[in-house]
Amino acid sequence: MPQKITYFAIIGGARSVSNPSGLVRRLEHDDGQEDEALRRDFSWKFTPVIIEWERGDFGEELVEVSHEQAEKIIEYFRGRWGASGGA
Amino acid sequence: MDSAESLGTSPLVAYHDGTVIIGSAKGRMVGSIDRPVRPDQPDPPDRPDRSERPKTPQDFDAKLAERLSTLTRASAYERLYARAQAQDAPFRERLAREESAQPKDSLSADKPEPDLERPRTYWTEVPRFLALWGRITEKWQGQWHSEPDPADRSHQYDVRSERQARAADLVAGIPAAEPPISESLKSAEKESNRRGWLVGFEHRLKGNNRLMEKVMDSLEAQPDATPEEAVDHIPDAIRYTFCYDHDDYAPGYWDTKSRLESSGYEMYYAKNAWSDPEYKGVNTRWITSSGQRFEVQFHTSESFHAKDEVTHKAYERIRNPETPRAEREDLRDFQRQVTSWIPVPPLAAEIPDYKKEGF
Repeated sequence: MPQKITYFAIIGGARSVSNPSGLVRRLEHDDGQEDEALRRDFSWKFTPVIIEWERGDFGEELVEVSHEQAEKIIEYFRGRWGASGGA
Repeated sequence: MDSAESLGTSPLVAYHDGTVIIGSAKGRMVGSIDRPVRPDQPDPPDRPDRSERPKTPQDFDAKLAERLSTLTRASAYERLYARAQAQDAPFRERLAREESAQPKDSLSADKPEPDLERPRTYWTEVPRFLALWGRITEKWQGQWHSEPDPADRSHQYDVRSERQARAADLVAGIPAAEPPISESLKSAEKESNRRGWLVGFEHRLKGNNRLMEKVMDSLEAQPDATPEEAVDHIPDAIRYTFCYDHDDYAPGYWDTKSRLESSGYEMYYAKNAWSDPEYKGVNTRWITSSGQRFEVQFHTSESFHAKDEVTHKAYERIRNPETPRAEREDLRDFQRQVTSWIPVPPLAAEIPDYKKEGF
């Protein structure tokens, strides 16, 4: 069970927090951090993009969002991809 | 100076600090980790740094021309060493005072005498970094799997095949945009009055497999992005690195930035990482009038060496999905230890971050 979860919306170009291109999160466990991205099937999977963004190596911008905002973003994606991500 | 006497002058390099000895064949950079050649990149030249230094143009200032003609890794190291000695003089004097103030019998027999003639700098610590990396490797390598070829990893991604195919088409078109950009960068190097030099120029195009891997990582993290967005926004498909001497760094940054802008390029992003505990330097992103993006990094000799020769493999392990969390923490701690020894150039911290609206 992570002690803390921080969400980031991926934005870039003309996108904003209200229409991001993706959602990633950092989980802080007792033995270290784990970074995950929300996939099209709404599962979470490891991603290197937070590490890359911290180093200036990722082309898009990450903006930290609250847990409530993250829920809204997931709902936004459900509307675009369908409930199972198949749309 | 035993760890670097052979810089640029001898085909054999040996470090010996009591914990590690590294024999180095001709062509390997001093302090380099003995890592395999990156599969998607060409072999580096025998002496990449020297071969990339600017040749003296006829119209160059005579003093600068003379300096460039003798600018070798050995001379660069000598200058850095001399500067470090000067900077550390107060520290050595304090050590000497403390030692003389101690009663003689308080020193145990097996305690080594402090080496007052060898102030600790980034370069003197390189053997320790390599020894530390060796211990990390030994601790975790039992859990390391062989690195798969990125070209064979596409099945691991949750990205639809039509998006992959479109991304691959876009990636294939990138190399055609590179020659005129490289020409401008070479001109900026030649005309630099702040003595900046390009390093790793032969790696200016990211290998196709590595680029596709990065595009796929990006697409997977952004299920709502188009392949065009993902490929266009990869910042370093075409990339360059400028190095400067410590005191020339900040003026050199502004000088090179101005020259690239005069060439018609626009900087749309700058990230100053000189306060970052795991990485030092400034990464900038540029766009040509035709819309091709490229990256220019700004380093000192130390920050480039740390990134390219000491922590590169740790960074790759951190990015690897197979790496256990606890190992990732060791790797990040390793990066912090190495990076803490990189001296920050004057005024480097004043270089502002920048992000253009809409990019």
